[in-house]
Amino acid sequence: MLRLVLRRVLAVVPALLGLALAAAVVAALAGPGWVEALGAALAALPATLALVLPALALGTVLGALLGVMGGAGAVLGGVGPAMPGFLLAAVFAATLAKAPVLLGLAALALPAAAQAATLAGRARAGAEDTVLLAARGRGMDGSALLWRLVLPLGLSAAMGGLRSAVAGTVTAAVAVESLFGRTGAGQLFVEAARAGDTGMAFAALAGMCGLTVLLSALGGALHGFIDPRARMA
Amino acid sequence: MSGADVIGPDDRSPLRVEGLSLLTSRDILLDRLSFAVEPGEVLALSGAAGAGKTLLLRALSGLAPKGVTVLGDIHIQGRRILVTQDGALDPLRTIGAQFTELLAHQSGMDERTALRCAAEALERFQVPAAARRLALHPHELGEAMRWRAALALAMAAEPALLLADAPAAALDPTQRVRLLSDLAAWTREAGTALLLAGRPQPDPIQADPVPSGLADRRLILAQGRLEAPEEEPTPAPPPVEPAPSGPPILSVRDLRVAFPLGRSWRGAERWLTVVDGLSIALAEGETLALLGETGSGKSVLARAILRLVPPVGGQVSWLGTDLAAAPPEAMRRARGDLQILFPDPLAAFDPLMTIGAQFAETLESLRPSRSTAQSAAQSTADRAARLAEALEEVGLPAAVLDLHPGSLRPAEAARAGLARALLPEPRLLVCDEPAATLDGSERADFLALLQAIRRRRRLALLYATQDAAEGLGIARRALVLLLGRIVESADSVVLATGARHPYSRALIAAAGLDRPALHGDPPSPLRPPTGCPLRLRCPLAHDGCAQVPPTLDPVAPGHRVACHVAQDSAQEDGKAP
Amino acid sequence: MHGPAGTESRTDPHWRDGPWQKAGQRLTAHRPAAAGLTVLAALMLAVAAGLVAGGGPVGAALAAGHQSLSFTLLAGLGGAALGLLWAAAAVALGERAERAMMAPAAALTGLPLALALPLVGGLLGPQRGLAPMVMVAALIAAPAVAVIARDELRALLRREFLSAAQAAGIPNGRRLRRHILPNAVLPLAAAAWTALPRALMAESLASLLGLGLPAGVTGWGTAIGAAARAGDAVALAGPALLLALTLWALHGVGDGMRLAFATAFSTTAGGRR
Ligand code: SF4
Repeated sequence: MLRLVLRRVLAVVPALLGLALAAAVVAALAGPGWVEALGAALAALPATLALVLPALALGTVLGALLGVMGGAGAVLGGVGPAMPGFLLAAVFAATLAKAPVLLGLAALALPAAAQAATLAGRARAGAEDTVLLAARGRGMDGSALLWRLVLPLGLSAAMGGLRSAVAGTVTAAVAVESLFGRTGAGQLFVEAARAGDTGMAFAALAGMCGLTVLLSALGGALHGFIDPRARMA
Repeated sequence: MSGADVIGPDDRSPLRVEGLSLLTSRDILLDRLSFAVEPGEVLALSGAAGAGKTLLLRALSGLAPKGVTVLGDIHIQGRRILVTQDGALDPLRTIGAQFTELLAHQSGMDERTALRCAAEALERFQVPAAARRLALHPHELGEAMRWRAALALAMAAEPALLLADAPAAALDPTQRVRLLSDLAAWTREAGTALLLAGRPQPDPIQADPVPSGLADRRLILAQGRLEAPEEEPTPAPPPVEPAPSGPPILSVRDLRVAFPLGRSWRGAERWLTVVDGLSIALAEGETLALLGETGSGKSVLARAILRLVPPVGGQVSWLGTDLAAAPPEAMRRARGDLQILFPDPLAAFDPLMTIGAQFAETLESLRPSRSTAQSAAQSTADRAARLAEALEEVGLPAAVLDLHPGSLRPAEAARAGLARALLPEPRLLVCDEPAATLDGSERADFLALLQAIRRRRRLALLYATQDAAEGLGIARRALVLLLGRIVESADSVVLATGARHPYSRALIAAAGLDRPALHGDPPSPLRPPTGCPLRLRCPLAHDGCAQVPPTLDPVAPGHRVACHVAQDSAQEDGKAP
Repeated sequence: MHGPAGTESRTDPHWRDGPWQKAGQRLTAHRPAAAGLTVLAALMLAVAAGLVAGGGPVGAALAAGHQSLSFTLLAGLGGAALGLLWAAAAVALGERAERAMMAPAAALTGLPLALALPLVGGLLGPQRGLAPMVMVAALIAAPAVAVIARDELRALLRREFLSAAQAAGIPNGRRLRRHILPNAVLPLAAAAWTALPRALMAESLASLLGLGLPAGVTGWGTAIGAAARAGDAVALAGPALLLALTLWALHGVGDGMRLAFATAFSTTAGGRR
């Protein structure tokens, strides 16, 4: 597992360095004080991470669970495309004036869950006549089948879509931070963009891109942990 | 039908079915089937595609699909296991873990015993270093090894009844028949009743597995009912044709086809060689079969002759012109003489154009109308008549011209493909498993039609197939290909009874469902073994085989073999009398 | 001898239909796609009617829809064109160039690209014009289109009927015109469609942050952002519902197109090696 994580993370180091370099160059070109800009962007990242990571983890796991069960999962997956995170954030912000942090989390977790549910449901349907039928033919059924085979397969499929889920969640996190007035890289980015502060805005954006790349790599490692087929490449 | 026997109350047969019907809300899928399988018996179940074999097996294992009602009695004594068509294993866990789980679940075995059991089970299918394979995941195994694992897993659970749905259908014949023979031997020994369904695609099991001893009994599923097999008349041997003489029209010399695989980290170019210095000569009206399995290069060879795949070396000359160097105009003229039938005839038609439009395009390209004197209207009328004629020759109505390929059934598509190939009045027809998508009587009809047309038109034929029986039945001469090289070449009659190369023998044995003597899996074409390419699978291999690659040398007039042992024994035969 | 049974006795009443009809039938057989098409058509009509009638909160939401939809259409078309060009160039230029061109496209799809739109919006200031925003949105949508389109083109070039055309001596130019291009239309359309929801999402997000459509132009995102900041649930409902509905419809149609055109458009499912 550790080797897998290391390998994945090492593989994205060049991308991260490239992003950092680009941010530094743009910030330096934009004006003095670029060191502070980079520092501020970096310092704001943990807050964003604290928002994105639990939302992704919760969304993926719950979504996969619902997805393989069918029913509610299918409904969730079906309406998923209609509720991108930023829209949910806006709706929550408008309806519940004093919005607690949990709502922001929910706005991010729901779309991730919907995507996971779709993928897991599809994986289950696809496995029904192959892997699952074969397992039933060998006499496996009931909860053993669900826990030992169906759920891992669904989870694996959901994690296969993690790359786009991470990108979507980070994007939506910007809206959440801005609307709910939380501090973080997203908030920093919006403020800087509104103020026309190129260096700061670009540094914040690069920071969030780096976060996305890193989270995707970790997600890939986790996927490989669950599904040996995803270990190569 | 055998299930009608009187069945006593102390009946011990693992499977007894009485009056089993499967219904959906609209049709009757299977209609009152009755049969029984005894312990240690192997019952083969055949039937055309869509006859309901898979459905029957699913119903017997209690896993009928949703929306299908099961009526009638299924009595099962003991444990039953279904091995599905794809032989799927749990993709997320190692083979060993799957054995342990199943055995712990079924007989409460602890892990050590289960793993030993698993290794023993794999060894029954001659898996070398079985214990090491247990640590692998299914996707890390080759197709053949995965099937061995799936069947070993099923048998390790000691079922009383094993339902196997077209097992290992996608494997090459030599591997598949060996696997099935081993399975049948094991079930007989263990007293397991085995119900073996044939695959819908052309399959020797469809033909008759009883004479070869693979199965004890055979039932046919047709129109939802079981039929006992009727005596099939042995086909009359084809009229012996005089060996065509004359200069070769097609001659292939040292043809090499290879695909670049990119560079290794040291910068050396790496190539995958698919056809390795082959030479063939074909006279007017001659028929030649190319026998070989996956990776033998037969299909690429067929395409390279028509320059659909660019060769990297060697020569293909048609009537004396070298096709590799031919200018476009000459090449086009040659294409009119050289036509090909593709393995999937439906995929070989553009789905967006009607059959008629594609015929017209082919004709216009290869036999352009040069008649300036004739009025345009008349020449179009001529063409339309010609297209309809072409369809008639292959037994299709002219209405097919207005259809799109998507509206054709496989049998019709195969005939339409043949009609298109005949349009430019070729002199050589290259066939790449042309009947691969057909089964049963449709296949036989198509091959008969192909033969009849070939005789009438005196076509030369190059017929690539992995089914030795089919190839030898169609062509007068045959080449056996292995890893892009010829290992044996002889007249079909000679080859059918007196093949000398171990690989040819295995291919011919597999076609007759006899257990082939080759063990193991074919080597990767990326890393072929030194010396003889068959060395690692050959039962006769000796040390010399690893050092010197055998050359293709004559052992009798018109019979050449590339095998040290076969050549030596031929010499002794020659000296003995 | 069994004849190949002529052409009668088929159960499917539509067996005779041409390939285009069959593709259409497959598309409308996918329920979200059929619903999505209906919704999109209804929306277009409603927006047009709203422009004429106007007035009230409904009229305002519909008028905002006009801005959002026009932007989406322009940016989506631009993104699709860019993506298709990208893929076509990569495939045409040979293996080396293909790898060099597609690797960045694949990498870009994994980044929060949509954020580039508010970034540019902020940098251009409140006096920004519409054209640069459309261009950036098109650029955001392009990489994903390119990745899908490249896969489709590769799959198409491997199909057997192209070998058959070669065996029939049809020259390359004609093969491209008569066989490759027509068969590429539907799969590429499915790939291109994905640019539309992407463009709409990017625009709405940016407008919601106040960094999208130029000042004075109100789209759904602008309205939603304003309502959310004011805590006005009533003003939010209209545009939010319309936006959700449009996104859902676009996705549904896109899904249907992918299923109906991309894989199943070949006459046989899957191929032999
Ligand atoms: S040369 Fe040796 S290894 Fe090759 S086929 Fe003959 S006996 Fe077998």
